[in-house]
Amino acid sequence: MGSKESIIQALRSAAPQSYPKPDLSALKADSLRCGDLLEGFCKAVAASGGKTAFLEGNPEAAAKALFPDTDDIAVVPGRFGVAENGCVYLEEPEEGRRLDYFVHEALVIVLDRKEIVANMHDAYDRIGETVTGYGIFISGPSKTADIEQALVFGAHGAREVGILLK
Amino acid sequence: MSTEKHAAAARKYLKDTAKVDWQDETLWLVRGKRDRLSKQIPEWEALRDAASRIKLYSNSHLPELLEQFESHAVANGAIVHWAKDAGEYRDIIGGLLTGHGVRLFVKSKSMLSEECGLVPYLEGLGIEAVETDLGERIIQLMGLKPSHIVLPAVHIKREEVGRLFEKEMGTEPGNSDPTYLTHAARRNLRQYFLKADAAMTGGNFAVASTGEVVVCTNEGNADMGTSAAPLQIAAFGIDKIVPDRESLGVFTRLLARTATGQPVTTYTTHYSAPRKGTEFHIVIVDNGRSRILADREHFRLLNCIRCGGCMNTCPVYRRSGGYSYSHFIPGPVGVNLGMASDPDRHKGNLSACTLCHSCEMVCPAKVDLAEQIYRWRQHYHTSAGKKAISDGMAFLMGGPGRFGAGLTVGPGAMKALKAVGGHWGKGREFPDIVSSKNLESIEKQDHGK
Amino acid sequence: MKVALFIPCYVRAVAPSVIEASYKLLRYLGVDVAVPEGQTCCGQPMGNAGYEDEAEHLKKRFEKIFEEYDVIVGPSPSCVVYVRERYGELFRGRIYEICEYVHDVLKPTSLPGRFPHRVSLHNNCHGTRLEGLAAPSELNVPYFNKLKDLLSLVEGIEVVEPERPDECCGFGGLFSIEESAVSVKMGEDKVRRHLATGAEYVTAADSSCLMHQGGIIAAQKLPLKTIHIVEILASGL
Repeated sequence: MGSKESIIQALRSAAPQSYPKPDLSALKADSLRCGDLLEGFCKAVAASGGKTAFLEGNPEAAAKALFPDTDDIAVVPGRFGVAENGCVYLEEPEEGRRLDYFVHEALVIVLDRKEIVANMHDAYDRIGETVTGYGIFISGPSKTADIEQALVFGAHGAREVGILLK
Repeated sequence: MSTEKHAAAARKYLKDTAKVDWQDETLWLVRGKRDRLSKQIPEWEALRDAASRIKLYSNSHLPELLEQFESHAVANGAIVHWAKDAGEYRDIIGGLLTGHGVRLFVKSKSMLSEECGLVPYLEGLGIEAVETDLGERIIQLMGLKPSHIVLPAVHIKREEVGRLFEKEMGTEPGNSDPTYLTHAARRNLRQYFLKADAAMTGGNFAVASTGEVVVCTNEGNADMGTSAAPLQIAAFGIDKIVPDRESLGVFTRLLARTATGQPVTTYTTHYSAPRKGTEFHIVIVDNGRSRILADREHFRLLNCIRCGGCMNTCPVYRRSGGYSYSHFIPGPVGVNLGMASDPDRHKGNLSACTLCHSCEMVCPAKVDLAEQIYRWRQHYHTSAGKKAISDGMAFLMGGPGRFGAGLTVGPGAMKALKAVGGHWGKGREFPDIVSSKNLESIEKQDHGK
Repeated sequence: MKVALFIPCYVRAVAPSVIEASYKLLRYLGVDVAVPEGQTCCGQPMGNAGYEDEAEHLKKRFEKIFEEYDVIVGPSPSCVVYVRERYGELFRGRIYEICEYVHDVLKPTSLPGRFPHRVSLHNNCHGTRLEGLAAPSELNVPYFNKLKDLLSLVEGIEVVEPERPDECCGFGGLFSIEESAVSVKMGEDKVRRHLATGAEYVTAADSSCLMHQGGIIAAQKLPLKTIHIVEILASGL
């Protein structure tokens, strides 16, 4: 018997009573929704260490204006933002470009300001099919507190993250 | 990890009061952040309840959900492996790496790899395995083990990191600024990320309905590694299965808020297909989990999402440190997981609990952690002295005559207890046994008035 | 309705005045309370240490003594919870910790006497997290604290709480002996936080926590006294 079969068999004979799948609709309906999604989102981005700005004109120029101290900036599209925690959902625009999200000094995400959902429940309802088999929520710059719990931005990924709201 | 009983190891640990207080305050700060964030979510308790129910559902439907996961993962282009135990897990990963000629291997934090002893095994195969989470890297370079599952280097002082990085990464002597040291590690680890032949992650969640593996990190180390290397491996225990993305909505709201007091981790990455031209291997591991599932008193342990919240709140863990426990996972959930894996080896941790129940109320998936420790204690006894005291009390309480007689000699008995090795008397005075007065007579006196 | 006073063994041994105060308080509030003969121990210390089976005879004795009563009231949250949770259905719904009973059932609006002191309230673990005497700090539930509500009925009292108001003080039954180093450290930390409030007294609903903290206070000769909450509530009786 292969490992898979023996694991499945062990699980079948171990199975505790069958618990039903919970209905989450009441929880989702009652979940936190801030009044103004865009305002909530911008506040949450700031709390995560990121910046937001309204986009007028050229994204590359706006990105540079947001982070004037570096030339190493990736500008990428985001699908939607989440107001409760300031994260943005991104999908690789084309195969193999995902490293762009992490390897540059600054990451600038261009987002439609109407594309903000309230919370993670709404976010996961929104994702749908992923074309490239890869999707990510990003909330602010890479960070760590592994040395004496002191918060430091720029552990391995982007040191700075900005959201341009078009 | 301690090779002696928790009580003995903790006694030694407590000698350095300044360090104990610092650890306690640091961890309490994390608990405080968790409290503040959880109280901003009006539906917090409903979320915990939902998380617990989803886990109970998943863990009672594992065969279906795992097979569903596998079929989706295969359809997405991943290659799925199954490992019964730690040996198979090591063999599968070792085989993949040697088969692909991997010399340099970057990995992100995975408690499963600690559980299965992966890194020492790979080193034996001549593969350089680099931990990339900053805390894990510090611990690895120091030749230590994590003292906390989410904050692996929480017990290391910045000066120690400064000296370590001076030796390992050539940082300025005497500079122990966390920002400076973190950025030095960033530069140092970059070269490994970009050169690595393979990258591995654990998995926070595996989604049955889509075949995705979800990895949550703050540093972006998992993402750097998996976005650059030509071979990606994700390995997780069978208990990481969740039915669908709707469930992820619940868990991602709870995980970081409980673990570190953040609304969400910086990166929540969903891997389903391999990058073009690369391979994506998924290893599904049992290693004793099906045995836990079969244990009616302890199967709720599989609800655990490894957030570390129970450690931050545990008053005993905060004052005894991760290395006072014999299991590689310390704190309330570690006491239980140790017992579930090898009770005779880990029963010395059972004393490390006052049954204060704080852990159960912090736990985002409502594992009955304290209640389970109570249950283990009924089956595994930890000290002859404790048994003698318990037996003595059970005898004395057998009748009011004996109890009364016991109280009459009470003051002497307390001193005797001290003499036979009870440690009550160090730093704490004995209570006075006041009297053996017949309290029941208050009723008669009262009614006689 | 027949109401019985449950005398936890350690309260009898180290704080018998708590039993007298409990009796007086219940009588004052109009309860015709009986004090059954032959009480010893509910078995909690043995159970928590891992010897629940060996305390089976204590459970039988307890059941025999109390089964005839409609309501059982005891001045110890952890003993009450033990009986409620570990004795099966027999006493569920009719055994109360005394503060819970006074607060929820008797509902006094005033109490006689004065206690003109600053008192630091220790919200003990089993009272807070298992018995429901106060909102546990871990949960996102509306704030309540039945002990504070009751203390506010006493004239002249100033109630304060230490930092970390419901962190465990480190007693934990036989934990205090088997893990004495951690236990003493936890007790020292707890007492230090009480002291920082400027209180003269530490109060709690559980004599075992007070015994442990009192031991630390005595060893360090600190200007703090311990007093069971019922003794404050009954101070004018």
